[in-house]
Amino acid sequence: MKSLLKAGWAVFRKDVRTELRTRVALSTLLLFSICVLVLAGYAVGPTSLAPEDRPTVNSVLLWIVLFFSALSGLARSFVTEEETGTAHALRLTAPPAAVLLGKLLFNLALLLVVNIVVVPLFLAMLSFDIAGPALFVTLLVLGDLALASASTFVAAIVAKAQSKGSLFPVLAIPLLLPPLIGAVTGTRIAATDPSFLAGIEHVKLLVSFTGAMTTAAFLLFPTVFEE
Amino acid sequence: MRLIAEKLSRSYSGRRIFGPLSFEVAGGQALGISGRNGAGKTTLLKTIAGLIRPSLGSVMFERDSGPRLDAVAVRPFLGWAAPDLALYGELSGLENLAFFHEVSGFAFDEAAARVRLESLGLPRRAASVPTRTLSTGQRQRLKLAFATSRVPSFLLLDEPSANLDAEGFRAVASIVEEQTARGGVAIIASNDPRDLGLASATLDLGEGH
Repeated sequence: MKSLLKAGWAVFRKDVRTELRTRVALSTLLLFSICVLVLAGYAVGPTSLAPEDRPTVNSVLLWIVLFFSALSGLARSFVTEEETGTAHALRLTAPPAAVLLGKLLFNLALLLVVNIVVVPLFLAMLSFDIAGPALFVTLLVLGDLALASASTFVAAIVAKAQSKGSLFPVLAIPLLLPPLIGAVTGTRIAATDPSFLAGIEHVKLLVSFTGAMTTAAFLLFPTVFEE
Repeated sequence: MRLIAEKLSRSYSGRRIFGPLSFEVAGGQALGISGRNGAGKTTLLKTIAGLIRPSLGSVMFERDSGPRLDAVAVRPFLGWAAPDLALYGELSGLENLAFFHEVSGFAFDEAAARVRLESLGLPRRAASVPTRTLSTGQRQRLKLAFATSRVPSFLLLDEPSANLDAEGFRAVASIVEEQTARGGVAIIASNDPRDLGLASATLDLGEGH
């Protein structure tokens, strides 16, 4: 177990080092999310919505930004391994679970960086007031975990396919709808209700989805990776 | 040390690529695999390495007096270099070797790795610049370093002297000599008579299927 964690950490550090030298995935995610954010800011703006509509519309818009930026960048970590031929070397040396762990951590880190940049901008540009910040932050972190776990596993599946670009959203979108609905509804509650417990059902949904998705991914990944 | 292939074959969409093949390679031996382009040399080597599943048959590996290992279990003791192997272009040669040691649970000795890279004819700067900036021949030498750096019991080399000059070929020859001298198994798939001349026996796949 210790050696597996160590190997997973090595895969994560390798991906971070590569990303810091190329900045391809981070640039893609940030550029996409900031473009959508600016678009949403102009279209909806802080004042064009009735106050009672703002929590619902802003919650949907926030998660659309995060969801589609995840779709635009998270497949890259696996796809580039297959496209450049490094996947062979990885298969010969690394335990599959360590590869999945490293890629999952990397995708989660990417999403967290995007959140740190995009969410404050979103809140400011759309004057989106949050009544329950603890619930809001919990939903963001759990939502990122759900997005990262599902996207990472789907990316591993599509990495060997010929039409990766179209296959990834086709598989990932239906899979991610349940946590997305939970995150949107929970965020709407966080915007209006200061109580953490008011949104606890949605927190549970995200925890359950991430737990089930991560377990399934670790069980199935060796077959996906080796085939 | 022994590699045993029994009735090994691989087909794609009903078209047989190679086999059925049965052969053994004992420790201290180097087997050359020859054959025309498309005869299945690379596919055979990948099947032995466990990167492709055989359609029929099996490959097993024996180390010392231990139990027989399949291609997945033997990976810590396997070295592989091939034209379609790539290392991380944004990492340096040393960073690549350190990474592959770390993920496979091997301790990495940077000083020994530097000596290894120099013995393969890589200039000192090649160890510390991104591998994408290296020449094709230098990347081939780095692949050979990747294949041999964990001192494998079973060494699989596909077109090992491709893109290498005469000095590079001498490095390949010394790698094969070292491998067989310490009782390891080497398999070389190539069309180059120089590469095949390093083998103690040859398996000819001929025209293929």
